[in-house]
Amino acid sequence: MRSGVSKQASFIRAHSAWFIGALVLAAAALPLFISDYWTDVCVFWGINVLLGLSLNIIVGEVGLFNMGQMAFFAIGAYTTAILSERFGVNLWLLIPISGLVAAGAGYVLTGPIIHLRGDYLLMVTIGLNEMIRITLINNPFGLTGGPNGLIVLDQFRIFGRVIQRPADFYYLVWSAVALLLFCLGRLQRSRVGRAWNYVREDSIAAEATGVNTRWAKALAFTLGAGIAGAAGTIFAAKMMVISPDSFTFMESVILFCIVILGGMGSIPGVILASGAMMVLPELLRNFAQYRMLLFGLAMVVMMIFRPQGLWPSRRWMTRLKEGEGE
Amino acid sequence: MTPTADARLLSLVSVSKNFGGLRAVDSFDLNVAKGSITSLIGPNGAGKTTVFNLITGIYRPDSGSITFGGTPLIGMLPHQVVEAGVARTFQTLRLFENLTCFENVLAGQHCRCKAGLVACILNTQARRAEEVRAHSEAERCLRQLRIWHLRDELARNLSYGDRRRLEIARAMASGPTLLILDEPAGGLNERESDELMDIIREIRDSGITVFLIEHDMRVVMGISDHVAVMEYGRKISEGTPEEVQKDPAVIEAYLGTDDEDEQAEAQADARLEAEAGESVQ
Repeated sequence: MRSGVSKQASFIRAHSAWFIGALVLAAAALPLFISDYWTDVCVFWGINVLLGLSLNIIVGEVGLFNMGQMAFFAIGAYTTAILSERFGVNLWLLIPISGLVAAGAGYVLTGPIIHLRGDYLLMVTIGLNEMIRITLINNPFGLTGGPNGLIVLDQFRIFGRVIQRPADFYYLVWSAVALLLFCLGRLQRSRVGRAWNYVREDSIAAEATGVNTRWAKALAFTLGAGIAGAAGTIFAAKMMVISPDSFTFMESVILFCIVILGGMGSIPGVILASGAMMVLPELLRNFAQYRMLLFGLAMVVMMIFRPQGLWPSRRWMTRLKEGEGE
Repeated sequence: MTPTADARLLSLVSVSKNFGGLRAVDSFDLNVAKGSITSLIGPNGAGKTTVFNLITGIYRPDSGSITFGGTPLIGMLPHQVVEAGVARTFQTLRLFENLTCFENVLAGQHCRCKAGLVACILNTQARRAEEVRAHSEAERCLRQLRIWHLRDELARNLSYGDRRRLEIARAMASGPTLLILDEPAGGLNERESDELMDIIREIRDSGITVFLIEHDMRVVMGISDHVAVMEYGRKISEGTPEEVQKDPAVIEAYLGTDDEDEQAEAQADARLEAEAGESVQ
């Protein structure tokens, strides 16, 4: 069995450059063949992939149940809107700035709760999501515009070209996804990524084996919050109007489901599952009323027949050669 | 290899720990000599595992001092204790079940590497170099415990005996000076525990001090240089295996009560289970 698997794996590995190249070409050519409407769907798919990947670090890699990821997305989006409209900060600069603000918020807000386990952490993060949303509605210091939200009039510019058409955003978002995929792929196979997995598997054993579990958890939460915050900038620029309605608890739940549905800790799983969450409802527009029903049904069916997710994460292997074992 | 008082590596001085009204460890003194195999034995509930948890920073003692090679361990977090050179295993195995054996063992090397987030993303030269070093160290430990051929198996697929070995390999991978084993032979059959004794001696001969809790007297008497006996949180006897076996206090603690029968029964049960498990596989 092992040799079959390794043959298949080595075929993919040997030709991985071709696979990736073909995929990138296909993705790059896609907007030429689909309508603006569908390009927009793909843009939101991409934003959801960014968010899904950010949450996957926290939920999938470290096993910290966070159902309030939208709070950090909101912090990023509002940071962008406020700094862009009031101070005229360049949107490109706002991507890292929003990321850092959200990461800082993630670090500070989760500091006191990070030692909580499972459902306890889940409840606190739900509360966190609601606190942020309600704060935004209450318009503190006249900063957030209350229930109406804020507008973002600035646009991304690259080489004198304005990013405004759906296809422009398509390339922007999916380039961000590609960059993130590259970084996360490296992390997964590194000391940091392994430390996260040790904590997920058994946090006491991880600590007793020499892993600073507090560091690992805080790093994951901060990084996940930061990525969500940076995605918030792209979202704000795309939407041009942001309001608290975009950052509800329900959105956090859907993100959480994307990670679970895709397979905990699986990067391709996140892409697949967020695609399913975005594209399928569009295809099933006529059944819009039953969307949540179908969604719930899908979750139940998944949990029964494929609890490991659509595309479970694979473990790294030492690439055992034939006949090498003793 | 005879331990001398000067060569003490780990010393506990009047360490106490209460859980509510229960005095789990009561003014406990112990020295573990460098290069020795020291065993801690005693009836169930005597407080042996609590002593281990106090040393490794999982619990904090109410009073007393614990020093390791001159450094006080009290107040350190468990991962800092590992970094200082004390590695441990658990009585109830705590492996990373869904990771491969190789990844499990790499965990031990985590505290010996330094690469942070940025270095890992940029894949710097320093990171690659330490990764190579960590891999070769993990390989060495897996080979030492004779489970190198299982490196790509998920931990949860291993047989009981191999799981015990994997835990020891993981602890060894942190490059410890003191290895603490909580019932390493628990649930092993006679052949397996013989192999384990060879491995533990090998580890000792490579310069690592071993401190273990064990119920299997054949193992304890077979490999220990020094034995300490605990009952109700106190040390009741100490010495070479022969001395301890003759000590009336130990005989009373072990043989004078029904405890011993229960223990023998429990051990026989565990052995039967292990053998049954093996025949199924």
